[in-house]
Amino acid sequence: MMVPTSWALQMTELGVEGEGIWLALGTIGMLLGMVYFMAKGWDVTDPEQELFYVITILIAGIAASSYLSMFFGFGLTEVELVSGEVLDIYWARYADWLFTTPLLLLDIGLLAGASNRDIGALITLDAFMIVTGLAAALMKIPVARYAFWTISTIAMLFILYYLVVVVGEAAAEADEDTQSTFNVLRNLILVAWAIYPVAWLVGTEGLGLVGLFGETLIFMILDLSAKIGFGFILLRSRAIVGGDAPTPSAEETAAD
Amino acid sequence: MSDRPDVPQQLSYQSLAGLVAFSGLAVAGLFALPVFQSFGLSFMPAFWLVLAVEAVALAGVVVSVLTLHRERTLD
Repeated sequence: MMVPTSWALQMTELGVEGEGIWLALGTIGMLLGMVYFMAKGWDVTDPEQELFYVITILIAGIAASSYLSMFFGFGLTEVELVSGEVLDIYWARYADWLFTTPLLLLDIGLLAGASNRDIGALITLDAFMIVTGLAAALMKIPVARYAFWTISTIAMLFILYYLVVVVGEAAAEADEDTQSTFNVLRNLILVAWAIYPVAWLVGTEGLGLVGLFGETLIFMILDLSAKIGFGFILLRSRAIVGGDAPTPSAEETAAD
Repeated sequence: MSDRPDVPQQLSYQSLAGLVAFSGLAVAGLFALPVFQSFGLSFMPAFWLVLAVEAVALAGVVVSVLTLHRERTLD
């Protein structure tokens, strides 16, 4: 019993409490995803395939580092609101998103064959969305927090619109396998990304309807789906590996 | 992905080195806040410094990835 008690005490000293279990699981999940992608791409020699592997492995690797930094308390701070209430803010989440979400857009943009200009516009909008989301988390005045949340959410809607219309137009000119994979990944982004602002709103940084334990669980599931799930679908698709790979769109394309 | 150009490509070792360096920078940035604070910075300046490091690392990674395979000419 000595070891768990000592461990729990150390975690509390670091500022990480019950939600630490989800941060640990997030770290392990991201690491497993990264190792899987590395193993799968070990023998790849095609330059175009290599790009997708490098980007997707980086996404998982940075996310794993971010979860580890939050688990050890490096990525945690406190914000005292004007009301005197003190919020625990996992700022490393935002640093992670600032790095990984543009790489996700780069992945899907390259898959669709979008122009560098369109990919650049998407990444710029994405950085704006993350920074304004971060501002929402760090503001001390509630009205300012919700104002920045609204700005960030509007930026996200622009990104999703741009992804469907502009990048989708580029994907429409690609071969059938690429179109199928694009449709599945686009739908994954549309659903997963749309849940993030809702999770923020109901979580401790917003209305406080869900505690830090539940909020961390929700973000971990979203992160694993949006990063590892995304990579799994992309790197197993016929659009990337060709030949005998499964066609992920068999069911989802029908839903489009 | 099926209609690849016939132009042979080669790995750019400069881009590969950049990719490794900027990826390392991104990972280090996530753990660097206490180090910045140990130099006397309060949370917010140290935090914005971390974000700047992440932004630079992102730009470096994107450029490195996009130039990882340069088209090789016959010259």
